[in-house]
Amino acid sequence: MRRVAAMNRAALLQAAAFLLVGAVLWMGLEGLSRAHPPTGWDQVLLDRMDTVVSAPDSVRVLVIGNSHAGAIDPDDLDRGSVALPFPWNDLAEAEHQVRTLVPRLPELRVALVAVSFFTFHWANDDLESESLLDSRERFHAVSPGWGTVEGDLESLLRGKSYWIVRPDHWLGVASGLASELGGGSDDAGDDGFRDEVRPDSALARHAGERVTTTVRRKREMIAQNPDLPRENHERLVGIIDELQGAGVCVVLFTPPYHWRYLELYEAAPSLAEMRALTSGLSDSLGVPWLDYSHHPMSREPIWFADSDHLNIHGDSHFTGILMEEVGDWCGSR
Amino acid sequence: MLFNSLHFVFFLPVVLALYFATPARWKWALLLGASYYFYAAWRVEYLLLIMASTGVDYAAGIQMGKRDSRKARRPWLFLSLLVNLGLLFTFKYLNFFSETFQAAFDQFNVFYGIPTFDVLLPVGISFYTFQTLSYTIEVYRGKQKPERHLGIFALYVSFFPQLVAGPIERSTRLLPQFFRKHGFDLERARSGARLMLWGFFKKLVVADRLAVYVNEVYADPTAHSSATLLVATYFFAVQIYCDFSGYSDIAIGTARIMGYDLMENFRRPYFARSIREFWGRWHISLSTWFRDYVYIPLGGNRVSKGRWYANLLIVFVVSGLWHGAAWTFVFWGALHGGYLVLALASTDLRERLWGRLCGLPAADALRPGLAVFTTFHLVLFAWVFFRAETLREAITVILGVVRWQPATEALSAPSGLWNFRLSLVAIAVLVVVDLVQSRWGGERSLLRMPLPVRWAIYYAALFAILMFGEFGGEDFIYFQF
Repeated sequence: MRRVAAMNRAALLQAAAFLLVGAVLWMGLEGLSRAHPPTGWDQVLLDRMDTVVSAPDSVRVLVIGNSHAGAIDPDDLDRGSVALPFPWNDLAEAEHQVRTLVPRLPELRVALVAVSFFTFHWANDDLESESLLDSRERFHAVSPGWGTVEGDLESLLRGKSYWIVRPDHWLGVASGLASELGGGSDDAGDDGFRDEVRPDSALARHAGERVTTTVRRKREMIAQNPDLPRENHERLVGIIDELQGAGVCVVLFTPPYHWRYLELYEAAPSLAEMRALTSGLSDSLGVPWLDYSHHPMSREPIWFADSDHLNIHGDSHFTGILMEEVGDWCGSR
Repeated sequence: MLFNSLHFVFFLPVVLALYFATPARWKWALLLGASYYFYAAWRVEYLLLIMASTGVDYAAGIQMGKRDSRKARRPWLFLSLLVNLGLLFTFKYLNFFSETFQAAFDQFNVFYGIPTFDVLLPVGISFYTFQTLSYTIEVYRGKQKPERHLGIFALYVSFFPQLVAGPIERSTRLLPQFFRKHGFDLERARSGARLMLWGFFKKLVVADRLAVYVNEVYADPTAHSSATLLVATYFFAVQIYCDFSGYSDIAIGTARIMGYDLMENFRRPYFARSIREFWGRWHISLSTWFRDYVYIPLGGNRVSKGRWYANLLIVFVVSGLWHGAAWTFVFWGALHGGYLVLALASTDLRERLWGRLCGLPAADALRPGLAVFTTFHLVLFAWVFFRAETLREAITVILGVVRWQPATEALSAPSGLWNFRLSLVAIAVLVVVDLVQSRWGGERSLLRMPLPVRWAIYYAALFAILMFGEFGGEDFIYFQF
């Protein structure tokens, strides 16, 4: 009996040692992986989240939402501004982000929330394709906290193991290390395409593809959950309540889109619903909605990276315009 | 539920914890519940099929047990065969035969009114049907006592580790194990976990990575060069081996942790020196099933030579059809049957030729290697028919290789250079491990190593799975059968 107990104790100790060494290896590999993120977006988000986590007292302005939130360039704002645009982000994810991050930011004064044409009709959970959950996983990968988005444990676990189970299967680490050993730079590439200026015809073509894809996905999501606009409306109300409760001035904004994108979207019936919901919310909660979708920038291709994203020049230009108006609403906060 | 899903990652520890905490007399109930849950994770309604098979075979077994003569038991055996094979035929083969007859009748402008019906193939139906049939046949033969405990019989039909893709267990082997006491055994648990780790490596790192290349090439064989088609076919041979043997390893490992021994299903088949030996190493549980329940009842080799060859061909054509309701599978089976018949018919001739051409001792030393090489390539040729969607596509692939065209694309193009290199490294690891297992015995050689080396191997396998595995949830190929 005593021998069995001793054997069990030895086995337990061995198992514990195995786990411990495994954990150390995991942390070492994770550190290596973080030093060479899979994509430029990961690098950007990692750096920005690093600011939020390592210097929470310095964050005064927070920009959240899907990739359209990237229209605001934090470099053109005062120090203490962080933009966290997650591609195809839905309102459940935005709500989770607010709940995760805002309690950590004692000096937060202004929150800018991007509202896109598809915001109220979008839920990544309601689409068969899991590719749209990438941004949810990315958020979990770069942010602190272990809460799930609407009980989605799979995305949480995938996100938390993102730096080991990388989508590029460590190609980025291998090439990064090779580049370092070769003395080359380890430029993750950032979002280089946003540096380019494209012809109007290319942007119009992109608008055709983008609107078709977005409207199709929206239709599929609504088919899965006809209550989606109402649920998303409630989520946005929850986000605003949470922020206002923390003494934060909230501003909803819609960035400029290319004229062809607007033209094609005008035919979608969901657009009228989106406008009605956002306006109603703005009126009832006293939150400004700064809609720049039809701003004169829409007619000038030099500002666009594609039909619904500004390029870095457009970001800079738009940030200046927007912040002037935000200043009027949020004052000297 | 897939073994390579997050669902299973949570499911297994919970089941194991509950299993070892449950008193011995109720373990069957826990495992039965877990097995039904495992299966219902696909489609709840398909549980009814398993339950129907279970109910009919349970009753048939009991009734046969009450009768002394085979003649008196025969109606109950027929009932079991009728219900099980009827369900299998309806769900798996009805559309295939219907479409085949439709095409034949169309040739003669004759109206054929039987419609095809839109139904999803129940996962693993071929596996559990064969497993439960082995029980009724053994009871009929008097080699198995009828199982009176309905719960344990239901567990035998649906035991989750091997429910959907085998190994196809015999009642004489598995049923008695459900009556034994199984406490937690550390050595068994370690051994099972090691096997599972290797199974996951084969599935996620080797099979699913190779699948990226193979799927791309076979999606449109005309768009690729001869060299690419050849590489894709080699890759498929490794993919299907790792996919299926990986599943078997996970299944056997899972069962081993709980105290159950499932039969070995693969024994390094690509090292076989003949087609006959290949079938003694590949999907062993199915090969022996066909041997015991089809080949021997047909007369086996205790008949005239012509009849013997016919028996072999019948068994392999049926085996092909078991794999899938398509002419490609039938042809694949017939090809293997043809290989065997040809090998048997030409034994003397080959020996004489070998003696004349290569009578030197050095040539004799080369002979095993040459035999392995030839066998592997015969199997490889047959895999083209197994993988292709249609016979026409298979011929396109073969002609694409035979009419050698210079490459217009990089060999790595279908999956990208990085993926291609990872595939080659993964195959190299597999070959080394299989060679070590073949030469020194897998687990024994591992256990002889010092602890730090063993741990290094475990960590390497674990992190290779996490870092280089494909987690797209690719189904196991054999699930479709």
